[in-house]
Amino acid sequence: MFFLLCWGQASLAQITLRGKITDTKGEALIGANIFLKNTFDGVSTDSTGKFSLVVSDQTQDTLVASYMGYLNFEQKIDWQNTQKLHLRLQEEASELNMVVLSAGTFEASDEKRMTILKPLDIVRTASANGDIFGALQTLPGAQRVGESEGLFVRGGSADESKTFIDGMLIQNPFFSSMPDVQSRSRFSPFLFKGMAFSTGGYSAQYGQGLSSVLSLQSEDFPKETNLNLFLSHLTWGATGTKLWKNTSVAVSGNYTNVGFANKLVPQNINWVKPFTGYGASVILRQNVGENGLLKLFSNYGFSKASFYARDDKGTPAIFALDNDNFYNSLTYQHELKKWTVNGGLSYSYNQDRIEFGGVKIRKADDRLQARLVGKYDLGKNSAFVIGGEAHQYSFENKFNDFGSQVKEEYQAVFAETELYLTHKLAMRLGVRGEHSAYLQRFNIAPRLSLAYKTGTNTQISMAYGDFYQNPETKYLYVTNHLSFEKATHFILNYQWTTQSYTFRTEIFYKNYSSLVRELDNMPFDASPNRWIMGNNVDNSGNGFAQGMDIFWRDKQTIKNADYWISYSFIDTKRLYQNFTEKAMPVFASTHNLSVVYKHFFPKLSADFNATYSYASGRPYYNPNATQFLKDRTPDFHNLSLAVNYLTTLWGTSTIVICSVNNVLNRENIFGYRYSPTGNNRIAVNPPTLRSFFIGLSMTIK
Amino acid sequence: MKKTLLTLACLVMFAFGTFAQNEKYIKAMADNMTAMQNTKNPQDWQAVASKFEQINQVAKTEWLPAYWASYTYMIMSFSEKTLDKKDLFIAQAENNFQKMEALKIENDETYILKAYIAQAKLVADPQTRWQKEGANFEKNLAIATKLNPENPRVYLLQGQNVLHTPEAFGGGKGKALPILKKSKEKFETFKPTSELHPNWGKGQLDKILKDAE
Repeated sequence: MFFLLCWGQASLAQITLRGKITDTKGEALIGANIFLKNTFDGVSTDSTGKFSLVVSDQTQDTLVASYMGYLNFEQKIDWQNTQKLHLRLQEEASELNMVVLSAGTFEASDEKRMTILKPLDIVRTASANGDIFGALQTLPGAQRVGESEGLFVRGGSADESKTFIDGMLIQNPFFSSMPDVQSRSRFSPFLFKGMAFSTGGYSAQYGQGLSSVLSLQSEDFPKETNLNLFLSHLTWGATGTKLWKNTSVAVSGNYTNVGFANKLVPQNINWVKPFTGYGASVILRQNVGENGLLKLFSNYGFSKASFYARDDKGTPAIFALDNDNFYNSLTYQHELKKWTVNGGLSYSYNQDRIEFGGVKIRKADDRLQARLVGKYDLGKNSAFVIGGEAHQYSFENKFNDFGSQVKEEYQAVFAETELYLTHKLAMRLGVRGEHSAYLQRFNIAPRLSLAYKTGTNTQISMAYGDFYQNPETKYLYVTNHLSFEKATHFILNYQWTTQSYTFRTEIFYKNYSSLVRELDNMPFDASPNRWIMGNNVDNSGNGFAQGMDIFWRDKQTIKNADYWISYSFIDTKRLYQNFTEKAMPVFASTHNLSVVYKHFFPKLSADFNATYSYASGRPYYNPNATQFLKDRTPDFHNLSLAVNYLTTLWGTSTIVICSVNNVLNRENIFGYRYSPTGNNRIAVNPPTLRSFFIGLSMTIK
Repeated sequence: MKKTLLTLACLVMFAFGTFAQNEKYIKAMADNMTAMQNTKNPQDWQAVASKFEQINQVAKTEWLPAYWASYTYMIMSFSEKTLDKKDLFIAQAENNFQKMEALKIENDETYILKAYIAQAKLVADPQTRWQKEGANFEKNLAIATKLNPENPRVYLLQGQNVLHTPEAFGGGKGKALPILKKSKEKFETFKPTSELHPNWGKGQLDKILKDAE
């Protein structure tokens, strides 16, 4: 038997297999490997994709061709006909050639490859002054508004944008509002590993934002045990991070006093007591087994400020604000075989005590929320998501002795599938159901997003969705006979991306319906802080926003430099609240342009950044004009510069940050406040024109 | 009796078969390692890498084919120009590394390779990756040092890293040279377990030392 076998083997003649290996388009693959399955014999293709393989042992008759980035190709050999084999290899789906559901979304992440921004890009934007929201204003879709905080997206008000951290809604992402003074955000950009800024058409996992959501993902484990000191002419702070095997704790504290800075730069505002604030936070991370991660985040802040502001009659009066803010969240992520489960629990509390011209106002809110989301991996990048959330919150507004309070219980459930039908075609289909106990209403919002890869570097995508949110709190104080406000988004997006360049353009149409309207036929009152009297309101308001965005980023043309240009055009009108006719709202501007330039000097270890922003004039209310909201403020221009310098001070690596905001000292005007007679008006300016920032951050290991 | 003979025959054949297979494995590996010494262009490197992958598909219980496949792809990433391409090769290196990890193999060489892959990632896009990959590099190299402080490649990678770190962050030539010289010392006495085991880095080190001095 043994001899027989040997003889059998020897009897087979040598056969030469010849052919070529190409991709599906017929392009030759050079250096592809071709071999008989389960043997060590094989050859590579030459520079024309051709090969010839001598086979002396024909017991194995499966031929395999392999090439990096392509799926292995197997073929049974017909030994009678072995000439001119042509093997076509199919491209393997990978993160690099996969279509991305991109309509309406700007992502920044270090972990995902195909994102337009990195978290560091945010920190390095000159006009941002280290504020996430400042950097987002340089992206297309965001509108430039200088006198109040918040994201104004595509003709939407700040109230229509919601901020989430690890899926939990943040009630007060900003320091408390002050009349005509923009507040900063409460959270340092260094807390986050990624963000997704949606200017429309976002996922069913989020709700209660008619225009936009900003979703921030907090860092998992810190990299090392260290002590970070941050000193600037505004803020002193320290963060100590301690790392164990499965646990990490970061404790930080900060003190802010703008009094010194206000003495250096001329102020448009007459401060009584400049802004001072104290903040403390604790961040805990705990691994639970191999697949669980628990995150605890507690943040407490106290701040106060007082200055001469103009009351409703335009006369100066002292505005004094004391704020207490507490945010506490506990989130847990657990990975099972196919499921990833995310759970969260958070509680926030905020109180403003205001004294304005002798009137005492107390505004307070608290929110308790729970969220549970399960994600099932369907393979090949596809996934199914199901989840729900429940909120219990209350708002209180006390005006001297008169007070009102709203208590709301809100629940939502959602389901969503993200399907990659091929690596070229992807779809996200979701639905969200929401219930409000206060309004006694229920809504169902469908969401759809599609993307198709049209070439190696190009893709088109579209998004559609219905979005609902509760009316503004000021209306909820007077009545619960209202319904959800609604927006419907249609977005069409084209993107061309390579590693060095990004070109992205988007056209959109957003329809607003059932917006709140006041029906009392009162004369228009332009005060942003007016009190709603009476409950003669309904959901008969409507509006639209349409326009186009263009984004261009180039990381290659200039060595060590990176720049982006973003432009947005918008046409929007609405009839809502106390508008007397359909008009462009005061927070919208037709043209918005930003140019962000970053240059790194490796020899100096310095990083130079410049940002130029332009916005065309915004509408303002002129009581003397014949047409409603037809007047426009002058255009907005801002040039800001910043230098970050890496060095060693006392043996510790240190970053020195210097920046100048509004280098050209331009007097931007955000609007006008008229006296009751309409004879006098005062321009609303930023608190300072040209301003400086100098600070350093030291990390001691 | 007949049955015993048959069993014996089968056993002999089986042993012979395994032995022949092992011979073939060693020869295929040795041939490919010679080919690696003689690579002239990216095409040659690709052929070597593919070959290691092919050997890995047959000799499924051996860790060295996956190790070398991972190593070659990682080395190839350095000669690519665009980040896209670099990452493609690094991904392939990681892919092969995971195949090796699946065999539950852990030793100084695997941690050195893991650190080297982190370094390749870092070098590809230092500005956005130094924080994460820098930490990964340090962590894996520290484990390798613990497992075998006599391995010259530990000091080679460490020296290389210090050499390319700006002085402001505790790097520079002055600090790198003593570490690289230590690597040189260790290379004098280092003996790989077999001719198929990791033994790279000496030429690389000599070149760096020559450039640095």
